[in-house]
Amino acid sequence: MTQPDSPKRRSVSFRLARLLLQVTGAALSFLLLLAVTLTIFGLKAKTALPAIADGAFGGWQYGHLYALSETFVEAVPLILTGLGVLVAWQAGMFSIGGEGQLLIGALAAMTVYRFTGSLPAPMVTLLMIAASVAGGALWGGIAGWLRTARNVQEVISTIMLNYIALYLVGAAVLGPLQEPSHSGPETALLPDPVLFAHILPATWTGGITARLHTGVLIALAAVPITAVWLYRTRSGFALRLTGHNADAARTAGFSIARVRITAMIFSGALCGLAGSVQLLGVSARLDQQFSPGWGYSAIPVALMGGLTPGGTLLSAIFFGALTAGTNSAERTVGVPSVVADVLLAAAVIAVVGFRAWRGRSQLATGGD
Amino acid sequence: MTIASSSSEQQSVVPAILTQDLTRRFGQTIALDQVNVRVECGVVHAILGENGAGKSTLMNILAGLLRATSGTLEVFGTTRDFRKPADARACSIAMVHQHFTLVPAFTVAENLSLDTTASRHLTPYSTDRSSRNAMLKAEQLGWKLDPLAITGGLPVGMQQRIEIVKALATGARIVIFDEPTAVLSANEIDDLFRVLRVLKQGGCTVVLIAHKLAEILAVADDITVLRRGKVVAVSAASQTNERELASWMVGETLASGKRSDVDQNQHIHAREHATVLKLEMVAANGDRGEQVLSNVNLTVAAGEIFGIGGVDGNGQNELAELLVGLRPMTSGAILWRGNKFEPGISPTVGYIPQDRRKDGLATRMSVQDNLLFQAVQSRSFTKGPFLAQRKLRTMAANLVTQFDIRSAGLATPVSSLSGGNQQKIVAARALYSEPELIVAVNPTRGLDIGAARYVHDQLTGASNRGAAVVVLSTDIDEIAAISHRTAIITRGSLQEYEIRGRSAEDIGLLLGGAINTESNQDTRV
Amino acid sequence: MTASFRYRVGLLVSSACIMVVAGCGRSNAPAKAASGAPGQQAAGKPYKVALILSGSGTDHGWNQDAVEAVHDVQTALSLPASSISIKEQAVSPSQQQDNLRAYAGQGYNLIIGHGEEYQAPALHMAPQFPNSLFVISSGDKMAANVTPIVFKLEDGAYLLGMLAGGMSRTGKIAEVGAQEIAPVRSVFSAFALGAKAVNPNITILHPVYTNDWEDIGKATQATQPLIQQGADVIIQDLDSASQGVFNAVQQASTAAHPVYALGTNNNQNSAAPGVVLASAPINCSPVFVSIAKQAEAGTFKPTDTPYGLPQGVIGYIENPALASRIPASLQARIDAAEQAIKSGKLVVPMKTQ
Repeated sequence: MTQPDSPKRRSVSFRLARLLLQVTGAALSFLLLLAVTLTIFGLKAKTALPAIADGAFGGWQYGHLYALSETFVEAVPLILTGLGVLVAWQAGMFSIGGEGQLLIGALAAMTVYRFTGSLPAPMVTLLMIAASVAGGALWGGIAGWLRTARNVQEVISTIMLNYIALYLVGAAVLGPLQEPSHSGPETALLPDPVLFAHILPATWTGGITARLHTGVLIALAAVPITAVWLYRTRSGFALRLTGHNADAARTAGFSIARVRITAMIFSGALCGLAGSVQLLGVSARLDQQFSPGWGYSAIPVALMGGLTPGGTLLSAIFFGALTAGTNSAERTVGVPSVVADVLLAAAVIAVVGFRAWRGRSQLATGGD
Repeated sequence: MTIASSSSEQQSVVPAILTQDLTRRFGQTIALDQVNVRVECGVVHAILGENGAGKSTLMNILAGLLRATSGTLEVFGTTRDFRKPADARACSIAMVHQHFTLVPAFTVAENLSLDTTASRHLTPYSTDRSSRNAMLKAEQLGWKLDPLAITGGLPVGMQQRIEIVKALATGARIVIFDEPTAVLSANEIDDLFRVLRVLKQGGCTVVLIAHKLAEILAVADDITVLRRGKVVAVSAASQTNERELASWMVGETLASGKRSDVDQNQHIHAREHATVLKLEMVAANGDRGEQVLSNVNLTVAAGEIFGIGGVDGNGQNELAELLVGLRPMTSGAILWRGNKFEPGISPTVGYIPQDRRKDGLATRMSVQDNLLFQAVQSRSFTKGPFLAQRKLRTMAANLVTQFDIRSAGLATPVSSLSGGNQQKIVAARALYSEPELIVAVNPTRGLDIGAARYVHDQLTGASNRGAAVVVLSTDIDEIAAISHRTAIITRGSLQEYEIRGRSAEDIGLLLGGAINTESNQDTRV
Repeated sequence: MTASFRYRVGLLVSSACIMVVAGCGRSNAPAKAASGAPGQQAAGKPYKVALILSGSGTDHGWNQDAVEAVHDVQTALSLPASSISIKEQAVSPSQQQDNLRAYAGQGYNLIIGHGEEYQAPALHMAPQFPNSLFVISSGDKMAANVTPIVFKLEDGAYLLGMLAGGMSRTGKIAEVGAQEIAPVRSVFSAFALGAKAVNPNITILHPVYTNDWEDIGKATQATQPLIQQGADVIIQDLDSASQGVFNAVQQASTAAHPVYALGTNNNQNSAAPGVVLASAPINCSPVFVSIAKQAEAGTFKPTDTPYGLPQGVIGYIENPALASRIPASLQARIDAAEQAIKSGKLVVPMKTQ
């Protein structure tokens, strides 16, 4: 019998090399895919590809910092909602509810602002963040409770809750939260002192303030916190075990109902947090089009990240770069923004399909 | 092992089914081990065996649902290798499944036209036309089927008729019945047997899987007995009797009790003083709220292994879950050392569940994680909400050494381990903390002899240090080998019964008559 | 250091992090003073015009009209194609702000945010980009380098109201809108005013709002009950979803009992030729070209004067296929009112506040 350590250590370096190979292969095939898609849309890959790269990483029309700032601004909501999705899915709860939780988070934050706007700005900001977390947690918790107490499948309930959240926002921005002149279906802009500060001094980015805001710190902090919870705490262990095999978790003495509700609450809290971070960092106001579907994109983000916190961070940044890149390329060389959607969908299918294929081939060769 | 020679005289005609050295493995487990079966044309041939004997695996190979690992299969004299059910159907083999393959929301006629429409995409669809053949078959068998009735609303017996007619409508000349009597009432069973005879007279070959001895003797012409994946006996029904069949089914190593490791005298002495677990008139419900256990009385002493034998699905799981605190009782009383029974606290409990892949392991998690299901719940391995990583890792490493779990490391997923090593993980987890009460269900199912022996030693060791051990198993040999006292569980009621010293026939009869209507399948695919 | 100590430190650091994030609010300092008038062409640099749309540029409606108008600007100012940039589908506030800021940052002279939703972010960031002129379609507020374009759709709606009042046989007409916001309400009240001018006894059913600018099905479902209640001329302000109203009207309309719909924002007469009596289109081209020309020359001053029928920005077009059904006397009254509005004798009120 070998030492339990040595094979693992060997496999780490082996896995690292394999990962590197896979990433290079994936990057190359993705570029190819990108080029083909652009050609299909009638664009010259030779001009469009640099334009996309410029928008995501800079170096041509944009400075590197400005472009990277855009990439991270796009990535922030995806990091938080992606983490939310992975927490639920790791617990075996196939929640589609990120979008609704995010909207409820933003709505809760905006409502709190309505009532506490006169307090000192930092306190208002904190209260808004807290409200969004609570709102999202409530929204997720409802789906968790429905599953455990009433056996309502979370896939159904979360989708329904998304609609409820969307229409609640719609009603709020036409009613109690509407801007004072009542001409648009939206709230007024939040005042600057309440909003997250911009991180990069304008002088570093060619005189134009880059939009990167301090909310990115919250998103980045959420990654290790989620990782520690999942992999270093008892309840995280119970959560993963329940996700892998609920029967075994029950047999081992864990309360599955509690685990599932906890997972949905935490998942909702993260997505709700994404709502207030986006509100305070970028949008500064709420309307029905507040989210372009971050809560839904979060699912492919988390899946591409292998349902791990670190992977989700990377895949959110990748999605962010692609979004920022195509956004900018539309302005500079007229790449239609739907190209990004096509590519993201293709990338997700490729990655998830590859995993499934690898999983099956492992199953076929390695034991039962 | 007794191989009774087939008494049906060797026929020169081509057999309907002939297998040679047919073998099927699931990972490390051998479900079928070089099986040779010869089914003559135009007979009812019964395949008999305990749960886990390999009957369903064999049938699934015949029906094209599984492929053999090695060996050959001949149908009407031609060698075949079925890759999918349609291949078997093309060779005139049809299967009547134990769990029906009907669509409950469809009408009878719609269900009957499912198979026939599949191959005729171009002709206009007509339920009447495509179900006509099947309806004719039903008439020939003397059955009245209402083509417009909704299938899901019909009684089970009627649904089975639809299933049978559906199979026959494909023009099958070999029909396999998987435990057809399990769901039927006595009258319906008689009618089914009448139909089997009609089929036989019509030139069909019937392969019948069953484990109720009387039924088999009543309807079968030839009988093949499987035990642990091997053919142990082949006989004409007219040449044998229930006692003989039972002894083939359960084996015959029991009577001597030679494999028992237990020193009875010393044990009896110990037990007089230390009855710790006491169940009085306990009842409990199953998952769907139906009463499964009734009037269970049971006492177990510290240092005692109490063995409970029985066929799957007679309440073993429910009893085990009751004892480890996963299932509430509906009436009765359980006492631990004369006080309130609080499993997990008083006594501390170790549990080896019946189905390690379903209830015991998360196979895609690592070896380390799987070893720690219990540890992470104990205060000594956590600090507040956090896990004491280093301690847990050390403990997992120790368990790997102590229980000789062979894997490529603590981080490898459990799915890559052999069945025996997987079971060692489950056993290690149940036993390491030296609990006061140990409950094990089929603790050695699917293990090779070495691994089984190892698990038995661990259980014996636990009893020697003073734990009360309850072992529930479908393997009578296992019960006899390791238990101090034994009982039989049938239809949810427990009956203390000394297995050692009894003839195999007695036990076989007891179990054979005790088979629950909800029998499980032999193998999971 | 024990593990749990590290975790506690970690938690402490992260909560401190949140406190800091919340603690420092945003500053919004204006940039250096402008060189020249907003939107004026800088010496030696190409003149650049950007258009940001919240929807698709091929929507046969609000957005497509703006795309065509921007191309008219390109022709009028003889600009190269590279000087024009159009961003479609800036759906969320985040994208809207991003695009305003990005165009301004790249030195675009004229940035048209095509919708009221661009007003607040434009007003907010405008001080940082004093050399760019932000044009907000359907806006209502001005700043040094922000100008609204107030479309006075009410002029057209008034004439449509007259037509509806004269054509209704049941004496009941109806209004379907996407959202109950001031501009939509104002259009509907002008419509009602026009109808009452022709038929003082006309009943105008309570307006129905679908809360969706794009869902055709919702529009159909909202329209059907109105027809059942007896409405036989229906005005809508639904943008892309207007086809839903036309569908419902087409289904209900018979030779014996005709039901009509009216087009707004665009010439929708051909969208359902059998039932759309007339349309009041918005034509962005004259106003875009006029602003661009003045701005390039450095003479433009932000203004909130409405652009309506007199300026040719709002039109009134009857469907030639159905024109024969309009009685001559009614036609004469409508023509007279159109002339009165154009000459300034008749001013249709706006109720945008």
